[in-house]
Amino acid sequence: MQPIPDSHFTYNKAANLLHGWAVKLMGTRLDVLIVDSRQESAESCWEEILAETCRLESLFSKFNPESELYKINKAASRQPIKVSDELWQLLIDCKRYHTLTKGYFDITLKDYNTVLLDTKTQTIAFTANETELDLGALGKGYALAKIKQIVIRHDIQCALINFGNSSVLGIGTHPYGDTWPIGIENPYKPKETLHIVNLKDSSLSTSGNTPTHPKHIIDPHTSHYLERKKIVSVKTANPIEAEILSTTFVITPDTITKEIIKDFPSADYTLFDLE
Amino acid sequence: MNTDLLTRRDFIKNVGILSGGGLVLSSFPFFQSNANEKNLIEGQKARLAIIGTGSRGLYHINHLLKIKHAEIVALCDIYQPHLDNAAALCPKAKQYKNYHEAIADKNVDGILIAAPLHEHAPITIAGLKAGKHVFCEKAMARTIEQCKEMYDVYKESGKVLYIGLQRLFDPKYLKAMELIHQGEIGEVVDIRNFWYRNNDWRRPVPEPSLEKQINWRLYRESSGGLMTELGAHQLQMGTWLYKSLPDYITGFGDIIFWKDGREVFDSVSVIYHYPNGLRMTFESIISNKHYGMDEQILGNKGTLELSQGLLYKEEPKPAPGIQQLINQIEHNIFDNVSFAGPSWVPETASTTKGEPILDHIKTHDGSNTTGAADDGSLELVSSFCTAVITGKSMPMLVEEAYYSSILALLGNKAMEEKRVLEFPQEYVIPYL
Repeated sequence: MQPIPDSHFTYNKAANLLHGWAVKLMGTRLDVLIVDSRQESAESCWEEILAETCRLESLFSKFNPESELYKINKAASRQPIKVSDELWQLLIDCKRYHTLTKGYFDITLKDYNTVLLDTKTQTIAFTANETELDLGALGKGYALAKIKQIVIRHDIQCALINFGNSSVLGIGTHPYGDTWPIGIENPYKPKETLHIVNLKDSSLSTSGNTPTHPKHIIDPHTSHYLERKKIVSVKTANPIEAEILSTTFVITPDTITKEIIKDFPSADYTLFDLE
Repeated sequence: MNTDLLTRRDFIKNVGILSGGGLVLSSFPFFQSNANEKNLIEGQKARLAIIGTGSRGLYHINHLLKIKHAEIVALCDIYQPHLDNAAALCPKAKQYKNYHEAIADKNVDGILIAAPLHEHAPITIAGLKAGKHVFCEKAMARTIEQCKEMYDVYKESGKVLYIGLQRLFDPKYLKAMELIHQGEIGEVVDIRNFWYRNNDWRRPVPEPSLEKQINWRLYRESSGGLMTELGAHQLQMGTWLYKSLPDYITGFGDIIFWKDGREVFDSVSVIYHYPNGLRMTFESIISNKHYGMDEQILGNKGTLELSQGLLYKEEPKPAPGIQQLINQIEHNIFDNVSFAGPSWVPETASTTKGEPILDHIKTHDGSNTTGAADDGSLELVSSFCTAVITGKSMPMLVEEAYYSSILALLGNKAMEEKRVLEFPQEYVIPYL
């Protein structure tokens, strides 16, 4: 069982506003704003979001010995491992995104070709001993996609979900405006807004280096870390694609970025070179 | 450091308190002083006799020399080397060996007593009865009977009495009290006081016959040990915060490490139990200094470490951007907010570090056995000088000091008798 994270919520009746938040969830902080006069629905929605995110954290964790991913990483280089339906669908999607991004999006961080997916038996096998899967680059996007379904199922028209500032989902609009206008901060100059993105039933993912973490994004083609002060933000209706594209575009050369984006017609991206 | 008289307005600005309700003001004696006192005392000086010019006496003299409205006209100590040290700083002051003579000096308006604890009551009472204003170091007196007598004489005399409780003048304590009254840490559920040092608490003695005079802190006749010398400061939190008196007191004290002929405990743990079930504890050990000194106020929504001026919330605050958005929605405002970015770092660290409650907080670890810099002592002495000129006492101060001293002494009694004491009703004064 995944330990329940440190979480809280408040409901302001005058503003019909629920604010739920949890820390130490997927390595960061989750903030959920729900604007709805039906307090009970808002609260049950928040509880479901929290439970689902906890479930996904244990599914995606590379470090939790109980997680399916951990077991695959341990054993798939020795023998094919049977994969659950949910993770299977995700692995198939990752394969497709690997191709669509010309190999830049790679959950092995190295060589996705060492991963064999057998659709007949729904098993996974690694052809190289050192291969392992890391779902960190899309975990928050996948969680936001699930959260989006939960919010819609609760018939909530107006919500904003912030997952560690790097992944933001806007459902409907700000209660007093026609979008959720979200500013992107310059990590090197706090309080400087680089750009404002208007979210409306769409999500925003931002990737890049920060002063405290200058080198943490790796180019799978060269195995080199990104060293430039570069930020990329991607807005699209699909939170998983936003996540995948922002991670990809911080490493891809401009010409390749322009080619890849053709396959994602609804995605908008903005690139900031802060050198 | 601004050594002029701190006015009420300066102080409010310094502490950042913009609007105070009656509840808040009642906790801050400083705010109740006359706002025009700076004008009232213009050009006047409080003429003081310093009685007891050892290390603590010199500490006060050094502060007084920076205060414009203070003038040291007399010095008194039975020990010549201490008198010489003080005379070097105040060459014009008259020197006395007998405190009765110093008190009787016609040029003396007020006396400042930094003598051993068992001398506090006799000198204070003599001073008040002679019509002089008195500042006496904490704890108030060696016995609870003496504390009561001092209090009664003070009330009858109509003179000013100050007891050296500088926390009532320390900005970070005042700010903390304001936050507590505003509900920042919710309902207060416990007060934990501790003071740890690692030294023998001895002063060098030039010849053995002076041992009890110089190391008066170590002997029961002259000292209440850790309870009166250290505990009395912190035990004030009980009345300051709970606004009530304990119904039961118990504890244990022993000499566990410094077995050098001293008579006072070098290790104490005392529990004060209040009628509503709350407790306050005091623990002091002088053979380990790792945890230093602090008063920790525990509430159901947060914790304050008073000597560090740090606030810890039980529930982490929302990220600033989200908070801004919440405020917008609550006030029907539509605007953009900036918080998105490649935030890769878990944002939980700030919740464990504690938040400073003031800018430029000055802290000390309680290891200095004479007195720390910027702990409110200068403001306290300056306020006394003002009171000597105006003749107006500081509300709360004597009462707070009275009870903190009584609690310290009852702690000793409980430890010495190894039992649970009930608070003696005959020592209740009209306060709280």
